[in-house]
Amino acid sequence: MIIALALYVGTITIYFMSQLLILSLSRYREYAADRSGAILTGAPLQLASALNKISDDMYRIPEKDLRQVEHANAFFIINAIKGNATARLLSSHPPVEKRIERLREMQRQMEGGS
Amino acid sequence: MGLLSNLFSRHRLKQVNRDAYFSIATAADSFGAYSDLGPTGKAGLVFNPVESTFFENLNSEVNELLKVSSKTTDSQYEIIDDTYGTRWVVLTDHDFDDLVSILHLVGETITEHGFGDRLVAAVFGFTYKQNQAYLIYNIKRGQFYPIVLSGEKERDNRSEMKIGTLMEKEKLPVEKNLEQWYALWGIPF
Repeated sequence: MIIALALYVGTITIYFMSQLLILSLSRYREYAADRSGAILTGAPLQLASALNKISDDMYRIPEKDLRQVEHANAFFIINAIKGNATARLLSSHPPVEKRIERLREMQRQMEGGS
Repeated sequence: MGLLSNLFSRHRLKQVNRDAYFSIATAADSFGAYSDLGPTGKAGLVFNPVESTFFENLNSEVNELLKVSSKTTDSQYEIIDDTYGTRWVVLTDHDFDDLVSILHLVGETITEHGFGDRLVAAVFGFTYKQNQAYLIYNIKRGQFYPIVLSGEKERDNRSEMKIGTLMEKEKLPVEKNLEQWYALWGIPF
C-alpha cells in the first residue's frame, strides 16, 4: 500500500518536473527561433517591432502622450506587477520584452560591425 | 550630517543629469557621418506653466538669454501653447550646439524660479529617411529616446528602435524601458 502510494507520488513528481523541463526547452527554442529568423532576414529589429506590435499593452512602445502621463505621474508609486517567477516558469514562451531585448542586442552586435 | 549628504547627493544628481543632457551635442555631430539621421535646426522645451508673473514674462527672459548666449545671430524663438495645456519654447538655430545650450539655459531659468518640477522634456528635431523624427530628453528621468513619425498620429516603432541602438552607440543615455518611450503628438515644429 505504502509502496503504491510512494510510486504514485513519485510518478506525479517526475511528470511535473518533466513538464517544467519541456516548458523551459520550449522557451529556449523560442529564443533560438527568433535568433535564426533574425539572421535569415538580417533585420532583427523588424521582428522586434512586429513582436512589439502584437504583444500585450504592457510591453509596447506606448501610444500615450508624455504630457498626459506627466499629469498622472504623481499617483504612480510602484510599477504595475509584470508577472512573477512562477508564471514565467510555467509559460511556454519567454516574456515578449525579453525577446525584444535579445533582438535589440543582436542589432547592437550587427551595428558593431563584427 | 543628514542635510550635508542630502545636499551633496542632490548636487551630484544634478551634475549627472547635466552631463547626460549635454551628450546630445557630440552625438548629433556623429550621427550625420554614417546614418540617415540629421538635425533640422529646431528644438523645443516643453513644460507645464502655472499662473505666475514669471511665466507671463517668459518672453522677455528668453529674449535676454538669446542675446547673451547665442554664438550665431540667427537664433529665433517662439512661445507656443499646445492643446495639452503645456507650453513650448521653440528655438530655430542652424548651430546645434546653440540649440542645446540655449534650451539648457531656458530650463535653468525656469528651475531657478522654483518651477523645475514643471519641466517635461527637451525635444530635438531630426529627419530620418524623409520622415520627421525627434530625440526626446525626458527631464525627470534624465534619459533620451527617439520618436519617428510615419504619419500625423502614427509612429514607426522599427525605426525608433534602430535609432535607439544608434544613440546607445554614441554613448547617449537611452531609456532602457520601452514602456517609457511615450509619444508627443503634434510637436509644434
